[in-house]
Formats: sequence, C-alpha cells, structure tokens
Amino acid sequence: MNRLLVRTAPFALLLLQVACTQAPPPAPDTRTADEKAIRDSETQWVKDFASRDLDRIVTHYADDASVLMPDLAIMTGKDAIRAGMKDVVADPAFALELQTVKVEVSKGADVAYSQGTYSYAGADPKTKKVMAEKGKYVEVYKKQADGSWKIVEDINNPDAPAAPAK
Amino acid sequence: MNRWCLKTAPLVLVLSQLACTQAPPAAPDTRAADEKAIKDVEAAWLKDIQAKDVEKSISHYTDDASFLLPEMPIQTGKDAVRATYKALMADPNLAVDFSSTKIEVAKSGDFGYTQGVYTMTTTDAKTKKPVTEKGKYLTFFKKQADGSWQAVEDMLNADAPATPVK
Repeated sequence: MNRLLVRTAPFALLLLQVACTQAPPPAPDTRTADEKAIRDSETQWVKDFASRDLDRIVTHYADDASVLMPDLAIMTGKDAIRAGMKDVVADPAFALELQTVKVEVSKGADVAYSQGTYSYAGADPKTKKVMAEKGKYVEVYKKQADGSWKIVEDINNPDAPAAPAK
Repeated sequence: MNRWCLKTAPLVLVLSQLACTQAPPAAPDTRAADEKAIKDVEAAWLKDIQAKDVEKSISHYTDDASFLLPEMPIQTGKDAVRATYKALMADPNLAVDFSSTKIEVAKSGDFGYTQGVYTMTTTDAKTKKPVTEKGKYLTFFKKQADGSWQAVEDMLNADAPATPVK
C-alpha cells in the first residue's frame, strides 16, 4: 500500500493543481460590451421619447426605480413614474434630446452609471408658453436577470432657468 | 498497474473535486461593510459642510468628480468643485442638512451610490433674504486604491422652489 501511494501521489498532486488552477474560470470582463449596451439603451430611449410611447419609455426603468425631477417629490415605482410622465409626453410641444457623456460599469458588471446632457422643450403648466431648457442628468443602472440594463435612479437639473423657446 | 489505478482513482477524483469546490476562494462579499463605510463618509461630509470647511468638504470627491447643481453648468474636477463650495460657503446664511434614504454597493465592491433628502438655507440673490428649500440628492461613489470611498457624481434638485425662512 505504501508503494502504491508513493507512486500515485505525484499524479494525484498534479491533478489537484490542474483542478485548482483551471476551475472556476474567472468571470470575463464584459465592461466594454456593457458600456455599449447602456449607450445604445439611451439612444433608443431618445427614440422612445420622440415617439411619445409611454410603455416603451418606462421599459427603461427597473420596477423599483426612482425618478428625481426638479420641483417634484421623488417618484418611486413604475406606476408613479408612468403617472408623472403621462402629461409631459402628451404635451404637443414636448421634445427631449439626450447626449450621453460618460458611462462606467462596475467590475462585477451589475451596477453602472451614466452622465449626460439634455435639451428639453415643453409648455409651461401655468403660462402655457413653450419653454426650453438645457441641463444635465445622472442615471444609475442595474443589470437585470435577462442581461438587460435598467435604470434604478434618474436625476436631472437645468443649467439655467427655462427660457421661452425661439 | 491496472490494480493501482483502480484502487487510487476514486481517491484522486475525490481529492480533485474537493480542490475544485474549495479553491480558489470566492472574493468575500464586503457589501455590508461598504454600505456602512459610505454611510460614515456621508456623516463626516455633513459635519465638514456644517463646519464650512471647504478643503475637508471637497476631500470626499475624486479628482475627476462632477458636482451637478441646479442652474449652473456641470462642475468637473477638484478646482471647479472647490470654487463652487467656496462660493456656497461664503454665504452667511448657509445651513445644510442631509441624510441618505438608500445605500447600495456593487457586488464587486468598487461602486456604490446613495439616494437621500436635504434641507438647505441660502441667501436669495434678488431679495437678499434667507430662503429654505427641501430636495433630494443622488451621489455615486467609487472605492479608491486605499479602500476609502469618494464621490464621482454628486447631484441634487429641490422638491419645490425655495421659500422665505419664517
């Protein structure tokens, strides 16, 4: 029995080392692909806003997302977000453009954020005059079980008070 | 040789399976400790702001951080952030309070963010009288090489226009 062990021990050790170094494989770094997916999602979002399709606009949010808009209380959850956006996109003067400036994804590819700028036009709820403003935004994203990226935090504010649209 | 193999093969298999399941160790989940660290950073940050200490206040930002305040363009980089804090802290009426309502950290422990609420009193530029606003903020943090957490994106907006202090 001793002779058996002596002879097979190196073989067993070799197998052990192969097993140790080969498994489990390190998770692949998907950050470049994830950044592109988020940029593409924001490009699609602009198209969804342009089409004023509320269902498609809110698909970009996670179910428990929060939207933090100036001069409004925090809206949390898809129903609250949908209700808050309904009148905005129904406004005939509504127009929104987004420019993604920066996207960064966590090493583990589960959390990401983007920073960007926007230009918005819409009727002032009080004066009914069409106003335009430029500003900036930050989005926080989480990767979902199906691999898609959804917004969990959405905040923006203007660079200057809105001015009458030219 | 055949008999040796037969006798030792099961042992080798068991050993290599143990090796596979036990090594290498998974990266420890540090999220609970990271969330606490970020909470502590925000507590220290609030004290630094309340003490009107510009340098300590801006020490919580990365060198390339963006400070995104309403009605001014994005301020990016320590010098721009410092200038904004200096201007804010020169206001004798400045009073700030904030607290997080949510802290989340990425699996990989490199990114984290907070959502919270704030109250701020400043001097109204036109009336020269103190006005107070309540609002919400989103701060995105990155873990630094030394293990500390610093803000890369810091953004806020008010729930409603500021009102005169009673």
